[in-house]
Amino acid sequence: MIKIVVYLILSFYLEGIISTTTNMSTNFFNPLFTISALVLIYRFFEKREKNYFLLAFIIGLLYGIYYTDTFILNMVIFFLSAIFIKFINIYLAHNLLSDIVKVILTIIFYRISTFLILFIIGYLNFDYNLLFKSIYSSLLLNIIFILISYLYFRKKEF
Amino acid sequence: MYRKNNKSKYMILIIMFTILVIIGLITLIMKDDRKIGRIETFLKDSTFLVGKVVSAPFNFITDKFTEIKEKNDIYDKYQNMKKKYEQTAVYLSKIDELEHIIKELKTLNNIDYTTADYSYLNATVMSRDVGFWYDTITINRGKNNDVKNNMAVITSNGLIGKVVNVTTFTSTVKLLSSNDLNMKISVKIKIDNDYIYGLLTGYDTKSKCYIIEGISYAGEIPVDSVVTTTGMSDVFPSGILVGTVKLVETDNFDLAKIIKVKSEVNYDQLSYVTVLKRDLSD
Repeated sequence: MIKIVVYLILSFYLEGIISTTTNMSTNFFNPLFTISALVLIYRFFEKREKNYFLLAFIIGLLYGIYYTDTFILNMVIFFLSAIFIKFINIYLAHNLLSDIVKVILTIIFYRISTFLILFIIGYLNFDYNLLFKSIYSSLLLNIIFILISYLYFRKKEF
Repeated sequence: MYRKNNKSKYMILIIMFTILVIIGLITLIMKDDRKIGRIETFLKDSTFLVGKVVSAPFNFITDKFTEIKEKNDIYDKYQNMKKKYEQTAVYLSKIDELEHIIKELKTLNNIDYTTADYSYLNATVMSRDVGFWYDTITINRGKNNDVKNNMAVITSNGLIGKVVNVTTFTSTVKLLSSNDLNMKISVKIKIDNDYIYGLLTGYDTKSKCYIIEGISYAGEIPVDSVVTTTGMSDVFPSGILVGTVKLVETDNFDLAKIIKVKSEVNYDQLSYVTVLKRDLSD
């Protein structure tokens, strides 16, 4: 359990560190490590789902306060993402390929739900291109992150 | 059966109400002029302190890489600096003279503060636009360093935004590249020895240019004219470089000009910034 929390915390901070070293708008290296980490750690909480949702809730709250100054927004979206992750885990197995698919689906869900909420409250204009860009620019780096994390977890726990 | 239907109706009502409350709260939270509460400040500062420890090894490695990279072109840099240094003495004496004149004029006119008065505070960018949509950066300077809301933030290439939230150790900077309707800035364009005034209203992500509106000037505005802030607000001091004119168009009614301004700031690679500390209480 401690190892999982440490992994989640490291992913959380690594996201901020990487965001200052990569070129955000022109390349494909847009980090979303916290959400990707939530996908990977679900398997450890399958029998303790309440703890998983609570963890998603807390990490979403911290993410909102620390990175985006949005407080509740990310708390809600992380919680919804956790429900989505639970849902896709019913249909997809726990192996490398499935985990990559899960991360891609969760990133798409996270980006679309954030975009829709921000559009509903009038913070963003409806721009398909921007939404599309936000999704495709996040995929590559997060898949690499999952590959590295997967190897680490595979050695330790699987 | 009837009771079951009633129960599901109540459930739907409760869910709808919860969604509306959450959306209402999010709308309030997304306002830039929102004051950060004590709990939020405490959580943000605690997360920052833990983050400082966690990111120390990563920063060490990044610094070493930067050091190696910079060592490779140190000679070219030295030659450039040498040329600039030779001109510095001339500029310094000119600045000294101008500062002296300004001081005397201020005393003569009983002025103790001008829109161009500010001091510099350098800061490191801790995270940049995490979350993609918000066009903000977080810097490692906060209330501890006398940073206040609405202070202007620049890089060596010009203005980049303003401080919107401050905690004890960190500040959030809203970038000018955001299309926030509240980020309207009064700017002036230098044409020969005269200035024309306009309002910076937004940012075009496709052309990566600022948009200036509200210019009724009938004459020609040359491309590459320098655009700076006017200081006609409590937010930005005057004379801060915004960019240079790239394109001049007229609006749909052919009455006013719309100007696209190209900035030299690379929003995708912001690592170090400078906060312009202006006494906002005046």
